[in-house]
Amino acid sequence: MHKNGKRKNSPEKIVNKFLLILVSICIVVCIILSILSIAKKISEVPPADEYVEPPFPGDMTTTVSTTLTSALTTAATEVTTAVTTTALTVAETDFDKDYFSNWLFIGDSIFTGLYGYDFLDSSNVFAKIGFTPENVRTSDINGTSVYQKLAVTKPETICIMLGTNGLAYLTVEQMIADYRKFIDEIRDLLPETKIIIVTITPVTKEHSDAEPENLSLITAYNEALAVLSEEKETDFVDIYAFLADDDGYTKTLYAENDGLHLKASAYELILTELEAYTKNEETDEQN
Amino acid sequence: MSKIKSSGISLVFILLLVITVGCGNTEEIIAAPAPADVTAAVMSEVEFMSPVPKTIETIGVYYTILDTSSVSDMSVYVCGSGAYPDEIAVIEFIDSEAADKGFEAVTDRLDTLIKTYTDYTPEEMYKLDSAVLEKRGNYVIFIVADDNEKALEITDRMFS
Repeated sequence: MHKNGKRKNSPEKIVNKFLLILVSICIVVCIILSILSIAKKISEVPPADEYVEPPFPGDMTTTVSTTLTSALTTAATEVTTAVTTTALTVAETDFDKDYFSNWLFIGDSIFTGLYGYDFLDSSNVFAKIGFTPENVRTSDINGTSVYQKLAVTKPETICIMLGTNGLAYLTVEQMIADYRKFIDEIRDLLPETKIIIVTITPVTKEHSDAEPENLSLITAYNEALAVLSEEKETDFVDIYAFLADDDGYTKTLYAENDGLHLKASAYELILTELEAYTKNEETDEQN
Repeated sequence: MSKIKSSGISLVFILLLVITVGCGNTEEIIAAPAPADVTAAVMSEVEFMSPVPKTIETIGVYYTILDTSSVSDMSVYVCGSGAYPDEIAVIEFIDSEAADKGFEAVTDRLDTLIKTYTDYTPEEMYKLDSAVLEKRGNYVIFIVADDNEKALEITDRMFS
């Protein structure tokens, strides 16, 4: 003991104290770094309230990621707003995905939206961007032709929407002639299968004014499709009528930004109407 | 004396532990972000047209040669309407070899989009011409958007 009562600091004690101080400094530095890192991450990740669940049917919940984009938020808000403001004019949508499990939808980019928006399984859709009544018979999707697809799946019902792409460079007569051949070939392959021809969909006024797919051509083509349907004794559903406003252009609620393609809400309506149509037909047949 | 030595050794051990666990853990989180966090960060600042999230069950129709069994985590958004080539995919694979094959599958997807949109909507080709396609460790990153440069900057930030 030192004479004044204080313990004399030995070299070991000094080293020990030094280490203690060093560890303390390190801990403090690490805590500060962690706080800074967390703060940085928080500032980079947008707040959770910017995201909303998409307006998809309940059975289409995604498992990989539930975080949505501001773009989808905007779209969902637009849909919600439109539904609220036009509640009296917009049809209710309610369809059963399983109802279409034995269907095959054949079409162009418009029909890719059926699986693009997750309303149907892609196995129930044979659709490709750019398909027309002409090239659907000769092209393929990943090496599978439409006839191979039909032979394998043997659907109970085939629903066809083709023609929008051809309006830019084919005449209505040419497309109807190709359509006729296509129906004949399907009938040869699957004589018992129900075939539904659906009209091509409307476009917005802006698109109609600026692009080859204009309102008068679409109307003329759809009228020709109705005649073809009668001639070939297929079913016919006027999808156009459900999606168009009083002037014949796509209702804002359903129109994609390009004025040609469709938003998710349009597909809900299309499937609802197709299900209702075929169920009514079945009821009529039973009676 | 031995007591002092052992407490000194203990302090050094604690020091190393704090440095390794405390600071090292932060590094690991930043270097290996969850794919969903990356897509969320990019999509909060870069516009994507009609993005729809895809799952491991529904991705096959787009990424036709992708071996989904080699994917450990992913976040993929595709344009639902088919009108635009806009797309973002951050896919984490089980190992680097699987990521190499995954990179080929995503390259195949890019080729398909280029073939499709070249004639269909040439005005959208600028998005594909500057598309982001990278392999980073076990990740493959693919972005087709209006502002691919900004998307890449955000991605870099998430992986740094």
